Formats: sequence, C-alpha cells, structure tokens
Amino acid sequence: MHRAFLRSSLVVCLALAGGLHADPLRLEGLPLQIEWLDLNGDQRLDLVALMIRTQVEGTFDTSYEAGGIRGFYQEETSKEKFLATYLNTDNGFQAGEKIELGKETVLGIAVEARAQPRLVLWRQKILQLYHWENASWQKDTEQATPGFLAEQLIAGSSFDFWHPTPRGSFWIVPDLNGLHLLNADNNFHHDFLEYPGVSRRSRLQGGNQHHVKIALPRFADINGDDVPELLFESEQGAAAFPIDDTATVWTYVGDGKFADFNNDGLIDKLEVIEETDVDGLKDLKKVQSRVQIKPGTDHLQFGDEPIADQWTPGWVISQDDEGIILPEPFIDLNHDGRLDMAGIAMRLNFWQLAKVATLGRIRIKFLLHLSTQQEDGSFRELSGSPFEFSWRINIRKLRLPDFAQVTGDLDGNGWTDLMVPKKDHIAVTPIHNGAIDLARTWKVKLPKNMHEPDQIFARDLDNDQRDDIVVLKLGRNHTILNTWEHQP
Amino acid sequence: MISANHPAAAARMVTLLTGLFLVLLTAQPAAAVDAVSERTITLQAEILDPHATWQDLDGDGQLDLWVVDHHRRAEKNRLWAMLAGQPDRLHELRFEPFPAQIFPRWIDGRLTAAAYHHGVLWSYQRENGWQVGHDFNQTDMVRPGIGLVALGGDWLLPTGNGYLVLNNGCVRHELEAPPTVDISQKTMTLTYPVPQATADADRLTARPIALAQSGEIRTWNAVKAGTSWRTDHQHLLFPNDLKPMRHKVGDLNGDGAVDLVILAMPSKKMSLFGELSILIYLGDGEGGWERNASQQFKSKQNFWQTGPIEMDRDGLRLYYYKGILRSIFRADTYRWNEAGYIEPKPVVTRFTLPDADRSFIKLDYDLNKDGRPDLLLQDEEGVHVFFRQSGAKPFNKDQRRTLANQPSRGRVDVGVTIEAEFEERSAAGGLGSPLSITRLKPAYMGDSAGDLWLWRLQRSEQGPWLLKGYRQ
Repeated sequence: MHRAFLRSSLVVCLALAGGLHADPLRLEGLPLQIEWLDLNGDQRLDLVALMIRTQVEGTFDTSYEAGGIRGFYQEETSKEKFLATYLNTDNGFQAGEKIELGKETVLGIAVEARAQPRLVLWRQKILQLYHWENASWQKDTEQATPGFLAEQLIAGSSFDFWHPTPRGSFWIVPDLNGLHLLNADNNFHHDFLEYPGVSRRSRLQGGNQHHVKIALPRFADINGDDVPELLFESEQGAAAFPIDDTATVWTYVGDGKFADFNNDGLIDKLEVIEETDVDGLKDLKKVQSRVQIKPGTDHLQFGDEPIADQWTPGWVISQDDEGIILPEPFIDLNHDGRLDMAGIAMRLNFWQLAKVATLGRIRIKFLLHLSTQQEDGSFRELSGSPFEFSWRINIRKLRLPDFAQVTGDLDGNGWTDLMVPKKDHIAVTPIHNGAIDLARTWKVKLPKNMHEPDQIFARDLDNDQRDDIVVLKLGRNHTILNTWEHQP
Repeated sequence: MISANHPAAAARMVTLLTGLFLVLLTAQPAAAVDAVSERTITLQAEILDPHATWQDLDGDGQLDLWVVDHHRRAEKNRLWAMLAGQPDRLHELRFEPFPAQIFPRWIDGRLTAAAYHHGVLWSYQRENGWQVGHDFNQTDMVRPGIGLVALGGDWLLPTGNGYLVLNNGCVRHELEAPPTVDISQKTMTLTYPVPQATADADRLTARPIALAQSGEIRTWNAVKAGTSWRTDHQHLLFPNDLKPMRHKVGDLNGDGAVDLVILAMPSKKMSLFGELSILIYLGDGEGGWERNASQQFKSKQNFWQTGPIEMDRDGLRLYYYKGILRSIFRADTYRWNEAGYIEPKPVVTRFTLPDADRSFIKLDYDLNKDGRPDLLLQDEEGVHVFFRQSGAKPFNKDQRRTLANQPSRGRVDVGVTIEAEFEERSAAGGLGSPLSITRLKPAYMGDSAGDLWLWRLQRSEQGPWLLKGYRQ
C-alpha cells in the first residue's frame, strides 16, 4: 500500500517536474540521418533513421537540416549502416523493421508522404525505392546512379537529393558539369542540366589548388505555381530552372537573398545595403543592418520600389561565409505567411575568444533581434527583443544555430517560441501577441543521461498544432532520443 | 627544394641566379642611379597591375622575365616577355582567355605562348594572335575551376577522374587520380590529389594525403615507366584520432628507398595548443611504404605554429616558430639512436627573434657558397641569413649575416621567389611551372660575384612600374 502510494506520488512528482513524457529511446548506433513520416495513417509522425555503428567518439558530428538531423563522419567510412524504423505509439516509440545495409557508402535516405508512404535509399551506385505496407518496407524498383558520383569516394552527404513535386518525384544527382534530373514517377526519365555560371564558386588561384567547389541548388517555388524550381544562388546572382523544362532559365545578376517575403507567390530579393561600423568588441552588440526588400515582379525580376527599406537591429546575415555555417535571416514567427526578420548581435569579449582558442569549444552568447513584418511590409522589432541566446560553438565545425531549429510553437498559440539548450535543461521563452515574454520562461528538465544535449529541435509529432521538443544525445555507438510535449 | 643532399639542384640554382644577375645587369645599365649598387628596369608605361615571373623562356639557362598585366580596368590583358640580355626585345601579347594560366616560350627566335582556361588550350602565334588549340570540353569530362599542372615537360590537364597527360600538346595517356567528394546542403567539394615532383624525377607524389576509411590514409603515387606514368594508391594504417596535416618524402634512413614523414593534428577535442604527432612510414623498396608507421611520437609544435621539414640520413629536422607574444624560432633535430629508431626527444636550437615574420622560413638558399643551404628568417631589421653547421644543431644564433631592408626600413614581403615554398614544391616543379606565377615579391638574388641583390617591383606616383635592384 505504502509502496504503491510512494510510486504514484513519485510518478506525479516526475510528471510535474519534467512534464509528461515517455522513457527516452535508446537507438543503436549514431544517426547519419533522421526523418519523420506518418507511416500508418494515425496522424502521428514515425521515425525513420539511417544509422551507423561506430565506437569512435568525437569524430562524429550532427546538424539540423530541414526538420531532421544529418550526421557527418569526417571521412568516408566502411562501417556498418542500417535503417531503423520506430513507430510513434501511445506508449512512445516502438522499434519496427530494421534493414541492414552493410558497409557500403549510403548517400542518404528520403521519405515521402503518399497513400503508401515511400522510402528512398541512395546507396551510391543504386537508388532503391520502398513502400510501407503490412508494417514493413517492401522493395520496389531500383535505378543505377548516373554520372561520376557512383564511382567516387564520398566524404559526407546532406544534400537533398529527393524532391516530390506535382510533376513527379525527382532524383537529383550532382555531376561535374551539371545535374542529372530523374523523374521517378515517369520511369526515371533522365534530363541533364548544366550548371549555370553562378554555380561556379571556385576561382583559379595558382596551381596549388586541389579543391573544386560547386554551388548546389535548392528547390524553391519562385513563381507561386506550387511547382518548385531549381534555384542556384551565389555571390554573383541567381539562376532558376523549371524542373521539367531545363531549356528555360531565368537569371539575376547581383547581390541578394531570395525568398517570398510578402507571401504573394513571387520570390523577392533581400539586400543588406549597409551595416553600422564595428570598431571594437563592444560595438558588436550594437550592430544594425539596413535592409532593403525589392518585390518580385516576374521570374527573378524585381521592382525598383522597395517594399521595405529600413534599419533593423542586429546583423542580418545576407552572405555565405566560407568558414562558418550561417542561418537564413528570415523566419515566419506568427505563421501569417509573411517572413519576419532575425538579426543577431554578439556579446564577445577577449576572454571568450581566448577560451574558444584554447578549448576548441565554448558557449557563445548572442543577442537575437526579432522583427515582425507589418502589413505594409516594414519590420517592427518585438517587444522584449533582443533575446539573449547562448549556443555552443565548436571550432571544428563553426555553425550558428538555424533559427528554425531553436524555435517552435510549443504552447500552440500560433506564435513560435524560443528554446535555449542549457546544461541540464532547455529554457523555453514564449512569444505571444508580438512580445517576447521573458518572465514566463519555463524549463524542460533533462534526465542526467541527456545533459549537454547534442541536438534539440521542435516538431509537431502528433498533429495537435503544438510542437514537441526533440532532444538527441550521442554516445558511444548509441543515441538517446527523447521527445517532450511540454507546457509551462 | 634544395638541400644538402641535392647538390645538382643547388648547382642549378646557382647557375640560374647568376644568369638572372646577368639579365638584370645588362638590362638597363644606363638607368641605374649608381652603376654598382642600384639597378632599374622600367616596365612599359601602360602596365597597370603587373604580375612578374622569372623563367627561362628560351632554354639558354638564363632567367628571363615576363609580366602579365590583368588589371580589371584594362581592356585587354597583356603579357610581356623580356629575354635575358636583350632588353630591346620586349614583346607584348594581348590575350583574351582570362583568367588563365599562361605558358610563354621562346622558340626559333620568336615568342609563342599557350594558355589554359576551363578546359580550353589556347595558343599564341605572332601572326594570328590567340587561337583555340584544343577544346577538351568537347571530348572529355574536364574538371571545372582548376588549373593544369606542369611537371617537367608534361602538362597534366585536370579531368573528372584524374589528369590527361599532354606532351608537346599531344595527349599521351590518362593518369588516374580520383577525387574525394564532399556534398553538403549547398556545395559539392571535390578534392583531388595534386601531383608533385619528388627528388626522383621518375616519381610523383601527391598533396594532400587523403583520409580514407576510419583508421587509414590513402596516398597517391605515380611512377614513370618509359614515356607514361603508372599510378597507384596505397592505404596506410593511421590512428583514428589523428588527421594528416603536412608531409614530406625523402630518404630518412639512407637505404635508398623513399620514406614518408607525416605531421598529424588531433582531430577531436582539438585545442590550439594540442601538439602535432610525427608518424614515420619507411619505404618498402618497391615504390611504396610499409603499411604500419614504424614510429609515432609527439612533436613540440602545434598546428598553427609549424613550418618546413627536412630529412636525410642524419635525421629529421623541424623548423618553426613558437611563442605567443614573442616569436621564438626553433629547429628540432630528431636523430637516429643506437637501437635504430628516431629518438623522440629532439636536440633543440632555440632563439628569440622579436617581431619575426613567422611565415618566412627559407631553407633553400646558399649565401656563403659552402654547398650547404642556409636558413633565412626575417624580422623588421631585415633578412637574417644563418649559416649551416655540422652536428645536431644546424644553426647558431650568432653565425649570421643580416641583410637590412632597403631603401626604406620596415617590413617587406620577402621571397626568394625562384625556388619552391617550403617542402610543398620541389626542385622539378619550381622553375618553368605555372606554380611560380605570382606577383614578383621583393626578392633577394645572388650574383656571380657573391653579392646579394634585393629586387622589388615598385611605382612612383603615376609613373611607370619599375623593377629596382639594390645591392646588399
């Protein structure tokens, strides 16, 4: 009697302290890629993961990409890989089918929501299609990899090679001089697209150069017809191709970041005209950027009259940097379709710089400035902004957090909230009615074996319009994954 | 790289330097302010942004000068060449493909040139100007964005899977050198082995050494068999927690086989002060290396404080700077011990050179003509030449001659431009190779009388570019 009471009290206490969540899931191996897909039509996202078995610690790294996780090995590897499937049930994630893939290089997986959910597995030399039926993956067709990639040693891959579109699902294979486009829903109809001039990143710098860098495209609907185009961006400009008509090309020469800011379907151009001077470390936190947004009038053509031309707080990232991986500067904070702006400023001092130099990794404090886009296109900073944000930086792989990774609508009020990973908890600060509400910050406690988590992000796993927090902690040949639907 | 065990190369360099001096001496004696201590060569008035290269264009053993002018504002990109001892023969070649690698040559009394740009070989004739010689884009998968490699008489044209070997413009055969590919969300990066000559003219090695699967590295070799090259890859066992940083091949144990020394950095939990490891792979006598490192030990340097490596049967010598505020020069000599191993505890030569230019450590110049190359270091005072000595401590702080910077004090970017940078370029790859295409840095060059001259490219206000030589 006593024992039962104690146990139930303990459960209640735990629930109060840490929120209601299932036991952490212990996955075998380390994740090369984690994707989410509703396999059994229960409106809950199940987990499909490409895993690698390795005992080596430290050489493995992960990053957040497009709602999932990608792992990076520092070298091409002949270690064993396998595909793991976990079904999201009332009792948490339950292990499903496991497909052993041997030691061969696997370039990646993709999942596609269809009547019969599809899995695509790219094993360097071949692409294998599967569909989900009777609680397991059933093999469909396979297709040989075209071009030179099939024969090369591959170091790592996080390229989105699979793109479902209304015109069919396309497989994109980079080659030396262009891309192979294969339409899986049209008998792998093959098309070849030469790289446009803007994708040439490398310049000849004497004969010592042994790297060739080629900018790869992303898929973006630039004209609002709901069919994505292939969009190449570089310092020199942009070029876009319709996915099923590679003879047509639209180009734009000049600086800019391209996105549909005003939600009219046409892609617009963001340019940072100038930034305030930084004469010392103390100026870093005061930096401002003058942003100008020119509306799209046609394919990669922009009107002269800007829809916004103003100073916004923080450093608005508009250029790629060779050494550091930078996030896109925009995010839709209130889900109104209009893109809002995120600028960052840094609080750095010499002591911190010395620390990153000697230890290789530190936690850096940023000031995150968030501004929402008004009806007239101008940006207004949220009250409560800037928000002090800390992020662990690793000298081996300098990467700032993707804004989409550290935000999520956890309370379901339509405004995205801010998540800051700390050593033993995640601090969640809500945003509502255009204000960052620091006073209502709440903590999601992490169990001891998940302290200093490797990755966090938010995803609505059970289709209740509230994001769940997903946390990953990498270990020696195992990964602990836990999800929380947590409210203050 | 010229070192004590390459006397032939050293002799060649002395010849070339002498030749250069003669070029400059006869170029424009009248313009010199002081016939003995200063020389001036005036470049064409319309040259805007000269990049000058010393090279023997006509094969007479004397260095000639050619200048490429490709200023952005210039309508045409121009190439001038000036032959040794013939200052009146100043030739101008306008060229269209740009940016490109250019290979001028003096054949049968006239200047000709070839250029390579994005898979297209161009050739220049006086009558026709620049014409497409061969467009390799039509027939082969030519690698974009990377230049060709010139090695001796061969040109290596980069293709998707390696190189096409050209001799006198004719395709000889393919040289396999597959890249490693890294695909990220935004970029595909291809890393190719770049062939580099070794002291043995019939053998190439490659930079960089690639990490292969976990616990292995992949080396690339090419061996000349008759007129063609044969390539092979070799996988060597390599510690999981290390990553190769720089390497050097040479005969370390005096058995005639080429050995491999790798400096490796820690790949995890990396600290700026983490020490580099030294791994020694002995030659197997068949053109490769033993699969296991015969020795592995920690060096005293870290990845941002590193420098040239020398090796011969006397042991291994690492040259670098240490210190954060004060620059401390170090030469660590690792010698063979009685047990037949390299002793992991080095004999250290160490002295402070305040405000030194830490990127400048030259070991390929023999100033005192004793047949042994000296050490050149630079600080604000000028260039210090330390004379090489016998024994475990190759250099002594006091055995030096300082060449003051002239005419003004203050640091100059000094380069003995003729020979290779550190160990990464070799005797065969230095001269006549496009690797030496660079704006002429102020350069010290010796003359037949044993004097040293500082040459620099300079310009006064709006006047023409001048190549000025100052005797030290």
